[in-house]
Amino acid sequence: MKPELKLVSAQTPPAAITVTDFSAAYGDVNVIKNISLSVPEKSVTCLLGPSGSGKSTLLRSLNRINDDVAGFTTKGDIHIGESCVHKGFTDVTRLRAKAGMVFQTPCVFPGSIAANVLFGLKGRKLSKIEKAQITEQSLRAAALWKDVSHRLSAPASTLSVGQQQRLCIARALAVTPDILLLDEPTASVDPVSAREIETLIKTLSKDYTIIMVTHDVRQAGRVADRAIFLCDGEVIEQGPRDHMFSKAALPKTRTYLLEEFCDC
Amino acid sequence: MSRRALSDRAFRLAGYIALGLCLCVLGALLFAIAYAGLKAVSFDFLVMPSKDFGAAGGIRWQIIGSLLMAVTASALVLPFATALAVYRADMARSARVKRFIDLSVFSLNGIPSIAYGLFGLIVFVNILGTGLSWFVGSIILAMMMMPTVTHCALSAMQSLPSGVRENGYALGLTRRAVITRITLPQSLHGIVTGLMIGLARAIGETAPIMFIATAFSGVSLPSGLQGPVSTLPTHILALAQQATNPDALRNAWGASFVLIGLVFLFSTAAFIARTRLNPYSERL
Repeated sequence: MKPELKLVSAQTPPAAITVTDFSAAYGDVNVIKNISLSVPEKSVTCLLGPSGSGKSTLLRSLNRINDDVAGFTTKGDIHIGESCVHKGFTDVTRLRAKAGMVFQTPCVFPGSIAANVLFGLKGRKLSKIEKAQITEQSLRAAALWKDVSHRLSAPASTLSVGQQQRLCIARALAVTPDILLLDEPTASVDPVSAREIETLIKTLSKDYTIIMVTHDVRQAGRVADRAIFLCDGEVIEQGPRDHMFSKAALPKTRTYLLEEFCDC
Repeated sequence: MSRRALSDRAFRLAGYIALGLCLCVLGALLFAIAYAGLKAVSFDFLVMPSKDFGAAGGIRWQIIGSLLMAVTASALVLPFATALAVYRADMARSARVKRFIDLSVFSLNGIPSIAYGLFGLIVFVNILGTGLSWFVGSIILAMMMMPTVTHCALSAMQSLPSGVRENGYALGLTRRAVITRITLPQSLHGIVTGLMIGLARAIGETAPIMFIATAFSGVSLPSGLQGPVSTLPTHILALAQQATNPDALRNAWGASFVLIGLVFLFSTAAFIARTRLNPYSERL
């Protein structure tokens, strides 16, 4: 039995996130229905599915950003590493620092580009040199350093929408998360910027566990190492990209991936 | 001419008429007060104390008294109104609690100023035995300013871009950090605007402070929290009651002109604050 176990471990990296029998509801409306899945570390996992399938709710449950939404309830377990998201992280801010999130619409704070990068670090005692290092590292990691290194004190609002989204990624990286949760990060940017962000996501997946919600099946085909197809709050099928895009087992998955249509 | 063009033109005309009426009322008021008031206003009028029950001398103590009460009222109302707006915008989760706060703020705004004055007289002067006190007057003015400041602050907080707080939480900020680093700095323009509008209203009020905080003449600066002050509105009221005395009437117009000037100053400050302090203003 041991050689088999070794083989499995070689093919599938250890899970960074494990979701077990998880359900979520807004009031009486169940949006996620008893799903189980795992996300391997240092890879890109795309959550695919039609509108209302529960992709964003699942993503927002991973860092408990929905905690303050009136009527939002969950059941089941989500583990990040060894820690249970709901029981292990009594301090939800620590969980959110560990699982950084970037939203659909880029939202830069008033202030300079450098101030935006360091926004999540305010309150920490950092020297000027440390701040400069973190700013440069984060902007380099977000592939924005070349564009803005000469104008770090310029207002962040002067950047293009695509650059603003990369600045949001840099801001999330500055707090040194292990996981990046991306909620349709290219939905509001132009195709050229979208491609740049896709390349960036692939690069970042060497160091971070990335979970990305997307409506764009072709984008998932370009970016994902693993895909999870959700429909009506249930996981229909999940697996490595090659499996999902060339030999998905279920007709429903094949129909959605080919025609971006789902009748569930 | 098509029906659509005709209705466009009719709406535009209605808009011009409404604007014209507004400007006429404002212009007539300002002209009348400036025309009659400027005859009395001079440097001496502004810096000299009043004599002869206001018919002679200036309005030094009335200006100082008005500003003292208005500024104290602002200092008193600022933390409470801001805290209430923050609680309503960022902390209250129950829809019922939110509705209750909204209803209370709107109701407070609708209470006549004389009712505030009577409340102050009964609670502070009669029950608590404070006697005439400019500080009690400031408390009552602060109560009057509360709904205006709260409403303006709340509007600014609610109009922040939808994802701005969520982005803060997603970075691992605590609720307190989101409030102090995102909500408050980015809605500062609303808080300051509300404060300036509240100040402009408070400085012109007579009824709420007449029974509890002011004397018509013969007072200067109070030595402590106790004791009355003289304010511009009560001074104008006292002078207007001597309508047969042309000197008193002239000084009443002069004091009105100064009062309008102060109100205009605060209103202008509110207007500037609304655009200059708004981080999402088009100007930036």
